[in-house]
Amino acid sequence: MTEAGSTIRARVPVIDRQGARSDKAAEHSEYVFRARSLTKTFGHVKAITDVSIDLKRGEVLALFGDNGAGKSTVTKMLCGVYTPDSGEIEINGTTVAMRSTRDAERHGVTVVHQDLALAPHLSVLENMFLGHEILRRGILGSFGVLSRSDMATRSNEALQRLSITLPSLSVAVQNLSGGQRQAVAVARASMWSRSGILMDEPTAALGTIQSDIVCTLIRDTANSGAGVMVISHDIPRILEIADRIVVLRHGGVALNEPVGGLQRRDIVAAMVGLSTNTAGEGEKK
Amino acid sequence: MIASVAAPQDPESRLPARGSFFRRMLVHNVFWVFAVNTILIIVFTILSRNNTFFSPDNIRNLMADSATALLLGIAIAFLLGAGEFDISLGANLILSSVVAGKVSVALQNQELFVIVISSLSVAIVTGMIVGLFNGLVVTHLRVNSLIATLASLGIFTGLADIVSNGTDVTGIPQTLQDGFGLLRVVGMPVPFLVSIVLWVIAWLFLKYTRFGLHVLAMGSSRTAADRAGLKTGNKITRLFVVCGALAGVAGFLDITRFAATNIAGHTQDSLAAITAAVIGGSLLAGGVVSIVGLLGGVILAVILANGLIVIGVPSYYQLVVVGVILIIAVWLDQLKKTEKSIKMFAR
Ligand SMILES: Nc1ncnc2c1ncn2[C@@H]1O[C@H](COP(=O)(O)OP(=O)(O)OP(=O)(O)O)[C@@H](O)[C@H]1O
Ligand SMILES: [Mg+2]
Repeated sequence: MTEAGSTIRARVPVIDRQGARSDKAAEHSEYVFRARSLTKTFGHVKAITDVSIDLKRGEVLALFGDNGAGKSTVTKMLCGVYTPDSGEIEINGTTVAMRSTRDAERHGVTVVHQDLALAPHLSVLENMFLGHEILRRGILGSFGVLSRSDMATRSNEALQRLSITLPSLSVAVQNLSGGQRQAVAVARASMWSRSGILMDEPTAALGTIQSDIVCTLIRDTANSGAGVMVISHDIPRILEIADRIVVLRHGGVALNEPVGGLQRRDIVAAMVGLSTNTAGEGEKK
Repeated sequence: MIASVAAPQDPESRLPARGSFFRRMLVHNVFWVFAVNTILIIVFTILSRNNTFFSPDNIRNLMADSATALLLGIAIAFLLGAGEFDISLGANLILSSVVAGKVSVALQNQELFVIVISSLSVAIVTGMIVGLFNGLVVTHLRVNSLIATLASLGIFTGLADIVSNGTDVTGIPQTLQDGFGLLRVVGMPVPFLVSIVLWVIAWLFLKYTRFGLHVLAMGSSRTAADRAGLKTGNKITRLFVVCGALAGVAGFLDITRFAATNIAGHTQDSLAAITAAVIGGSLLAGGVVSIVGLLGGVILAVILANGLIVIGVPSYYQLVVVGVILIIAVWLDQLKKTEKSIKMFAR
């Protein structure tokens, strides 16, 4: 564990130096977020120790790691669900303190939670606009009357942009298939994100075809200019769409590299702690 | 179809309707409740002497009977919709009526207008305080609302007894009864009209406003509502306060009708209200509310209670019948769940 830890710290500054070299103004627009030395403990459990991670716009960043490696904890710190014990998160050049997913949203970052966090009885439309409802103008609006037609127009635009087809906007989410639900969650996140989306195991419950649909969605989202961070255990599938790979192990970064020639076995090696080997390979490139 | 707010047939729907109108009606609670109501009306009319059940006088009785039940039903439907329970609504009604009764007695020499406004406001404020208490216990102390309101059922029934010395408040000004409770407008009792107006408002709010949407969202998935940034604790507290206000109005209507409080007569009201809401198609577990169905459920309860008396069945049979209906209602609720569980979330 300590060995892995030292490898992590050896690699992290390289990234930082690269970041520091780039032009300051460009950096503001280039990064969705830059997190430095995040640490989080739960009681006696050191869930995350000194993790630095960043996400660029237009990039798909894959976050791998064994069960309990700390992937969800990192994600939750990046979207305001948890507050880091130490370390800082920088968005648009300023350090931010986020207390809720709403704060993260204000900074342009949205999340697709592992459990999707959709309201099953509500319609697609209602779920997509929950917390962001558009009201009618005038006196009706002051009573909180919803403008469903405006919301429908905007939802349809968002769905079209992501090439998502759903039977209807008024169908209850519980009547959709798993893949369709996933698509709604992604569409919702992309509609309210201005710079980046974090996705916690978006393909975990999906079949092959539906996983492919979601992966295409992720790639399309990144191509449209947003940064996407994907957590997954489905290494081969995510490798196909990722630009960069970060592997977490025991709460620290074990690997952080462009996808380049990385193979599944390199990633698995980093995950299980054969990191010296992998690091050597990585440095050769 | 209008009834089910959670599955609106909105213009944005691009889905062709599944099955015929009739087939969709068959799986809908609202249809069945109103069908059963119609049958019961016919049966009671035939069984009653000179068909008195369907006489204008008795229909007005039915309307007056349904006023308080409908108000408590609206309150419970919203709370169930938001995933909460309230079995203290009856106790709230009793306390509000006792406090409002005391106030009206103290003001008996005043004009009708003054008595109505004062005792109505006092009843509403009392109801809101009870609701606020429930709301804070549920959201701040994080006590499950079933337990919290079970406790406040005791607390506020006790308080009502303390305020009234354990006996019903009498001597409530006759003008309140003549000038309000027994007054008719277009042939219908005023308390009934009041409750119907509030029912329409409740329906509009649930179907068309952000408030209604948030209520259903919280009941459908509290996590989803939280993650969407809704201040759920706040909203639940406010919902309890609004529902308390409805119970307060019900308490006021009750004293205007009988010119006395009826402490013993409302202990079963919360259960009756829950029964009416669930029979009407609202889900016990939240997320789906049918306000139209609720009206059907309230009418069903009122018809049964009144009808059994009119055909000469002793009134205590009512308790048995209401209990049995509650079980049927929950059973139906269960059926809906199993049908849905097939399509439920994978996890
Ligand atoms: N709320 C919490 N309270 C206590 N311990 C926690 C909490 N959340 C996470 N942990 C611990 O932190 C560590 C990292 O957990 P995390 O959920 O981030 O892992 P993960 O990489 O997402 O795993 P998985 O692949 O299983 O989802 C684990 O040891 C876990 O037990
Ligand atoms: Mg996880």
